[in-house]
Amino acid sequence: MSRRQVSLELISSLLIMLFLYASISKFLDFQRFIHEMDNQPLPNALTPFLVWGIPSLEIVISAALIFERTRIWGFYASLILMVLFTIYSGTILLHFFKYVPCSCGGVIRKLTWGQHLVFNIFFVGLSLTGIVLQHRKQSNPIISSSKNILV
Amino acid sequence: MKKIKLAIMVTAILLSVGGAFATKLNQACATAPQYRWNGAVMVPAGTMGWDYWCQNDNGSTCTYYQVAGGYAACQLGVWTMIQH
Repeated sequence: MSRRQVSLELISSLLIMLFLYASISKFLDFQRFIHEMDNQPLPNALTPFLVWGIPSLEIVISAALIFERTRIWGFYASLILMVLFTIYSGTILLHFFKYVPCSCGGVIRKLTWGQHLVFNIFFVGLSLTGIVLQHRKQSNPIISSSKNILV
Repeated sequence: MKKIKLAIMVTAILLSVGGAFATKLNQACATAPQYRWNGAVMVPAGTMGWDYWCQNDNGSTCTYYQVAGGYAACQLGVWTMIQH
C-alpha cells in the first residue's frame, strides 16, 4: 500500500467517522435535533427540510467515501458541506444574526462556536487534501499501482 | 491491501456508530415539557423557536425538564424571549 493510498484511506475514514457520527447522533436524538434547528437563526419553515436533509446528506456522503468509484464525489460533497458549515460558524461569530444560538450535534454540541470554526476548517482542509490525492491517483494509475507492487 | 482498506473502513464505521450510541443524550430531555428558572421558581419555558431561543453561553442552562424529585438541565444557553 503506497503512502498516498494510506493517506487517502485515513482521510476518507476520518470524514466517514465525522459524517456518520453526526448523522446517527441526529437521528438518535431527533426531537432534540428539531428543537436545536428551531433555535438556529434561520426561518423555522426550513426546519423540516434541514432536519431530514442534513443527516441524510451526511449518510450519502459517508457511503460515497467508502467506495473507490464514488470517493471523489464524496470528497467534493464533503468539501461543499464543510465550507457551508464553516461560513455559517463564521457568520455566527461575526454576529451576523441577531443572536448566537447553541452549537448542536452529539459531542460536537459541547464545542464553542470558535472551536466549531477551527474544527470545520480542519475538515475543509482534509476534504481538499483528499480531492488532490484522489485526482493524482486517478491521473497516475500506472505509477500508483506499480508502487503498490513494489511496496 | 484490500484487507487493510476493509479493516480501516470497518473500524471507522464501528467507531462512529458506537460513538453515536455512547454519547446519545437522554431522550426524556428533548420530548419532555421544558421549564426555565425565572429567578424564583420553575415556569414553563414555552415553545422553542417561537416563544424563546437559547442564546449561546457556555456553562448556563437554558431549559430544564422534570425528573423524579426535581428538575434536570436539558438545553444549554441563556433563555431569551422572542419578541413578536
